[in-house]
Amino acid sequence: MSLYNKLMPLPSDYFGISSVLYEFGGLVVIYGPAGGAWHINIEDEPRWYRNAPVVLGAGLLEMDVILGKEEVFIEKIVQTAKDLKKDFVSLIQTPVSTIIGADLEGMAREIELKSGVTAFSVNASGISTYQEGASKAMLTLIKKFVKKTDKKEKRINLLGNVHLDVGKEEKLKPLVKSLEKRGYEVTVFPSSKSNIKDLRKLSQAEKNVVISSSALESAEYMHKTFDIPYLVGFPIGEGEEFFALLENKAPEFSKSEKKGKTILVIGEGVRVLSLKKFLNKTGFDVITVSLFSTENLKKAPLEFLSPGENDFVFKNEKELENFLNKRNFDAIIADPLYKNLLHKNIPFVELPHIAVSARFYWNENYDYVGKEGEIYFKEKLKSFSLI
Amino acid sequence: MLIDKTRVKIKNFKTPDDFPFSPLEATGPNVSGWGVVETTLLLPNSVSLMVGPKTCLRHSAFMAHARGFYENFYMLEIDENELIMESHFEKLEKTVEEIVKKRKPEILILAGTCCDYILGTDYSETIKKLEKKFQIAVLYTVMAPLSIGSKPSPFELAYTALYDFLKGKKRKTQDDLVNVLGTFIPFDESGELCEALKSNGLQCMEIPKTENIRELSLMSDAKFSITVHPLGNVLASKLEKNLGIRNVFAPISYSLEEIEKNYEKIEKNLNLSFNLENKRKEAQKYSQAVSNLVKNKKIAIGTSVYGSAFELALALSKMGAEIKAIFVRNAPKPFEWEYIKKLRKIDPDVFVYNLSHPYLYENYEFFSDIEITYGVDAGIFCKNAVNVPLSRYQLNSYGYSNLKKLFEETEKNLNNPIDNYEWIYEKNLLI
Repeated sequence: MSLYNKLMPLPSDYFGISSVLYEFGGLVVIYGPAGGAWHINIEDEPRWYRNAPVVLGAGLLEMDVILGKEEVFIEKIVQTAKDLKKDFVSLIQTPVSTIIGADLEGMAREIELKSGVTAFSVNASGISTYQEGASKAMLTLIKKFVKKTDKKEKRINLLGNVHLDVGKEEKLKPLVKSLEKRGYEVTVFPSSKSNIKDLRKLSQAEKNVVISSSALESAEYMHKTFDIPYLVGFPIGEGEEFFALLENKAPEFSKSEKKGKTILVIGEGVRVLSLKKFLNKTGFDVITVSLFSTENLKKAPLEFLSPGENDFVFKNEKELENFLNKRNFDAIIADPLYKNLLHKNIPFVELPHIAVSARFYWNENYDYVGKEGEIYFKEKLKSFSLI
Repeated sequence: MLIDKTRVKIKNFKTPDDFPFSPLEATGPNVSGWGVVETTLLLPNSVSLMVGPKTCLRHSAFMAHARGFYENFYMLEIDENELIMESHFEKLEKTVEEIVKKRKPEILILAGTCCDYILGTDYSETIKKLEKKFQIAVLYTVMAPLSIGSKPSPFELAYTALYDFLKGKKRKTQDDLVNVLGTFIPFDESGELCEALKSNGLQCMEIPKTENIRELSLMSDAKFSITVHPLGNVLASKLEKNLGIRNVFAPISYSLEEIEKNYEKIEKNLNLSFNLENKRKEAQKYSQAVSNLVKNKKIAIGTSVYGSAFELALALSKMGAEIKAIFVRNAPKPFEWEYIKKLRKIDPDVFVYNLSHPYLYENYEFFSDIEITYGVDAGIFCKNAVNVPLSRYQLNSYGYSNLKKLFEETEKNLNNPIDNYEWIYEKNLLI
């Protein structure tokens, strides 16, 4: 999406990395100029408010860049990690540190040696997408802290609780509760309830559920390394098909009569396709627009979602704006910021997406998972006389 | 205690080196941005185009959306290769063409980022080409926090970008024209400063009030500038040095003595006389009214207030308040040391805290006894206090009328307090 005006540029990879690492009690150092961490903390990290600091900026100035004062920053990071009693230190690249070729891996090794605190860097450029960053961060944690153990029956991981895509963690409660009601022990990754030591439990799962696209690589890795199969997607409604897949049963399909109405859904790949499944079942035709390609979601060994025709990705804001205004939709389900692109009145169901609108709608009341999600969407669609 | 590393007592705060610099930056949602977006859009009939990696653009986009003027703010994302190879100029030209066709601006502000700063990206030829092709003025600025300490801040640089537009415009000096520099929004209806100048036969030129490029260019014909915020100092200095427009720095103040001093400075430099006795008397009443509200109250002040946090601390201290904390992000500006010196005599035990210090965010209970905070940035630490934002996005007064505003805002918030979280997250005040 090259030229922006009515929408905001998406977060870059180091936002995704910091989103994943945020909950684990560590020190996340954005190795860049003054302002590097601001971009995250001011607009994209509402979890910060009146909590202990997690994401800090190195605050590089001109002479730091020219003279390459890595030793100075290593000492600062070591001291801060010790003073704040952090469990680990992670160094993250920015466009500036990428340009100057800062050796963050080497710095991390030295920090670990000097402080006794686990330190690592997550490979990023500061320029690629937040999903790539989140993906790398999750994979780094899993490779570093998860070892093969015995599987435990009825243990499930929900992979991909990246707040930039999922919103507040409590949005997953309906799914967690449904699983627990069926006797499952659920680990959400990453999560505000876990710490680095808890990560080893991840390999005990009998199945993984990928709830956002950035967890796909981790799920693939765990499938190959720990023989944990995975499915991509989450249920909206009772989730008969979803639970049947988890329990290795043949799912029973039911669909409502077609309504002859088309709904456009815009957002993160797993979310839009999960919503598409629910809406199709409810009798709607659905067109989806994902931020990034959903082709990789087809890799999942357990098939739940099926990206296919009528699933689009747009290169830029202008193309999306044209698409929204040239086609006819009976309703749109998307982040409120997309309203800026509309030239006409279309029934609009707001589904906030932090990656799109930052913290503007962080506290809004909405649901999109499980039974609560079904209620939310049906009520909204009913208010537009579409149900 | 860790908190000791984040603060210094006023009695020990004598040079910039005494400031409790932080090892790493901790900036929470209570801290404002660089102001580049607001500054670039001060100009009439202008649009802004920021060019850089998405990470830099997002922050400014957020500001623009929060302030409600995203329609005038464009962002062109460029990737790593384009950045390093400087191969984005063609893309830039096409983008400007698209913008100009749609918006027909008179001024385009082109903003680069830290990456341009390090790589030394040279936009000068491209700018000349754009100006010629599209018949618009193109001003260049750079949002490069990397340059802090060695150059003016990104905020100041953005404000100073206007100089490039004015330098070629001088026709002849207008003896009755005075520029007012450092404002974001026009002075309010009280317009005390401009009314006072008017009563002396002078016209006031405020950037946010100019309606088009022709009016804006008149600034280069002014005889004097009055700078009311340090943000305008670099521009004022360039105008003085290169266009002979003399400048007097008379910053926004809340203490009667400081306000009086500022007017005396203006009178002396501009060789005129104000009749502000009625205003002064009214201000004295408001000063007393504020004193009634704040006397013996434990108070904290943040750097986000309209004016200087140190000057406000001085004013409130004189009104009987107990100043417990002043939160700032950097070492004080040169003009603020005078306030610190005076505050030291009244209350040497006031603490100055570094708002960006990570250790400050470890213990919010520490400030639980604070009763009133001025500034939303200070408010995040003082969870039991009534938060009075006194923000530059709310206030636009000058001179004696500041006392009235200070009273009104304090009383309003004491009577109907709004939670700090709501100020930041619902009202988007401090960004």
